[in-house]
Amino acid sequence: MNLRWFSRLGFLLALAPCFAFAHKASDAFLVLHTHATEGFSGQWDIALRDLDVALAIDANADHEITWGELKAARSTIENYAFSHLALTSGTQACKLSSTDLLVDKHSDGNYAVVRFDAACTPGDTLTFDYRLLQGIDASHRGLLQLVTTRDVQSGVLVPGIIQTISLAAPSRWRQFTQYLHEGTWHIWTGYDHMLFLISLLLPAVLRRREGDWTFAESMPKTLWRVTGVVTAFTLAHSITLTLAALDIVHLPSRLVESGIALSVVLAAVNNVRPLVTERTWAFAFGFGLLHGFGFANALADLGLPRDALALCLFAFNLGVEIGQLAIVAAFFPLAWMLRKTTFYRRVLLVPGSLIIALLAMVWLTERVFDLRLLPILR
Amino acid sequence: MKNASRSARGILILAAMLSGSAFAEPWHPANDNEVIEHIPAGAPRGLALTKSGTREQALAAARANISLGRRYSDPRYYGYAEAELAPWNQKAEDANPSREEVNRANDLDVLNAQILQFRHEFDAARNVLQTVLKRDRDNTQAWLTLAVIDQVQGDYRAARGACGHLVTAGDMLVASACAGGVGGLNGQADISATLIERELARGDASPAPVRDWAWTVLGEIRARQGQLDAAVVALKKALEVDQDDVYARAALADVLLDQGKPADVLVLIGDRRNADALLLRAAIAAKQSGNSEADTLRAAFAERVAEMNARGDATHRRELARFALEVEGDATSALDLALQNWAVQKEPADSWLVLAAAKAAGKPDAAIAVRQWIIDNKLEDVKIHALMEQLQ
Repeated sequence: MNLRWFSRLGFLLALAPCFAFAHKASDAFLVLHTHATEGFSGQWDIALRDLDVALAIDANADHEITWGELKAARSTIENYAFSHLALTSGTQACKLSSTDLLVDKHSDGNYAVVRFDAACTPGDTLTFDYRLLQGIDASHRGLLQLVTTRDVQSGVLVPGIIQTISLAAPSRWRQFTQYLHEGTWHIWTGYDHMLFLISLLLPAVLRRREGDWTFAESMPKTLWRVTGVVTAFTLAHSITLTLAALDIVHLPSRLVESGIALSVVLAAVNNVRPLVTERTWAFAFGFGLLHGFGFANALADLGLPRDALALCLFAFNLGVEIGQLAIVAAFFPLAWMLRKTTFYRRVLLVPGSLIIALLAMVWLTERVFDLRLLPILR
Repeated sequence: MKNASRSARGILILAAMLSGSAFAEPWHPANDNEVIEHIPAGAPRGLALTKSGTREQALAAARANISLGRRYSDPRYYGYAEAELAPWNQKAEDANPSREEVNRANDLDVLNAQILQFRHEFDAARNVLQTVLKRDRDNTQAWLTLAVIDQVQGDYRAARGACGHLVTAGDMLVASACAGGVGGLNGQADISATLIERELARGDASPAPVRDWAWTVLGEIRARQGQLDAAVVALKKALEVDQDDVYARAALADVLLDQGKPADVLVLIGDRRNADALLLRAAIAAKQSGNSEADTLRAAFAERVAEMNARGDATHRRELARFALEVEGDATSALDLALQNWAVQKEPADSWLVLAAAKAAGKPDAAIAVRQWIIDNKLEDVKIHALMEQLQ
């Protein structure tokens, strides 16, 4: 017989069936408004129950907190609260001073509403060292709303963890480089765009004569053809990207994505059974329109900031062109050097195009029927 | 994506903040005698004003808080307990501890495990308990807590094994309620109920919380057997032992709802709406009986949901699923939540929710895994089997 255990039986068994219910743990609500010059004004809603656990504000201990008891505890409450919240604007500590004490109702009871000013020069960052109820209630959290003239940021403040929130508007240059990078990245990781371009460029270093391929003699003429194809593709997708990003034209994304896959199939098959050999630029332009809608979908996922819409749209498009030119710059010299070999014509061009066509067929099936067949190369 | 989830959370927090003040601005009460809040009896007071005490005082306070948290179904007490224990958890362990030091470490860890269990961190809780049992195979508190976790997660074999370690500990009602609780879920409902009834009939020798618990387990078995009148009797006995036991009151409310007596549920719950479990049942009962308070109760629960979501609390999916299903009538969301919840806990209430939501959403296939699990584990529950037949 284990006496030590038996003496605690009551406590122990009280726990047994306890797991089932959801509950409301302790939260405080902290709202800060930034002002142009004089720092912040704040409102901090703290549960009256929590204040009693920390500060015993129910002075006569009758399990009822009256408005009189709350008012009498005002300075105690404010001292406790302000010594458990350190706000730092940039590197400057904000001085907190109370402006009012009120009461408000939340879902689990009434709260003391501490209104205050935080005096400090607004900086680029605001750092929260939030420690309300630290060491008293380990599950307490501060739910933060930070309201600036530009937006509203929110967060969950955990006692003991210092959090910094950025207040600076992102610089135009940073936005520009970010969208430039995203555009480039999209071309490099969007295999369908890349394979479309490569399918169009593979035969550019060759000429079609009497039903067979021979190599092109003239470098300037070949370069001109490549430039034509790339420019037509660029022009086309820039037009539709802009139209879609500005919400002027909208196509369903499944249709667009399926069309893009189809364009890759056609471009690749055209290298095996050539139909369009002369005016490939027109082909590039036509399907380029479709690819532009695809870029627009990617841009929509990224989101365009309202205040820098044109800049970011331009940067994204420019990024796409840079990514595309990099592919051409890597492809063209190699193709030019290899163009006379049988390897280029018999291995790269025909079987290579067949593989591309096959892959694009799988994409097409996936996108038309909303399936997932390939684990990679999507 | 990151932006999207951040703004989603922003909306939640905003909703949580506005919900409290949507109808009124903060106010200055008119007179000093106006009561603005009630403080529950037993809650700790003035902790920021007192110095921290000894380890024994901290453990005793944590134990008392966990006990209150369970009775009132109130997570704040678990927060207090966790804060009490935190400084002692950081103390380094001795490389060569004495017997007494081992016992003290075990006392601390069992409390840690009970807090983890409450937060639905079942695997972490189990790890802590296994450490305790490695140090002391006879730690009955650890075995009982482990039995409860195994039972919630549907590992009945392990739960039965853990209950077996309680037989030698003294109080047969503890061992019977533990084993009967598991057996009652796992194909031996009638024997289990009889076993618990017999131990309860021996008299009032066991401490009140043990009797409260045993009556509750018995009531739940009878309810699953469809013996609703017997279930009501047992759960009322539990409430006679401790009228503040939120779990037993919620279980009784569920039986009354099954009996088609929503008006009785509203009387049973009265103004005990601080616990979410009771608020939810009141909202369901009010809706079923067309009570004039139905909208108020629905809004009150939705407001709590918004606040819990804002702080990122995911331990309440069972209640959310039931609210979506029985109050909001949103079967699709209910099914989604019920399946997420079933991945964590597998009590009959959790299985029932998946089946009921799958039926309401017209997606019987979503419940296939749950149905198989119920068959494999021989769960005896007339409500669940009726639903399974309808889903065939």
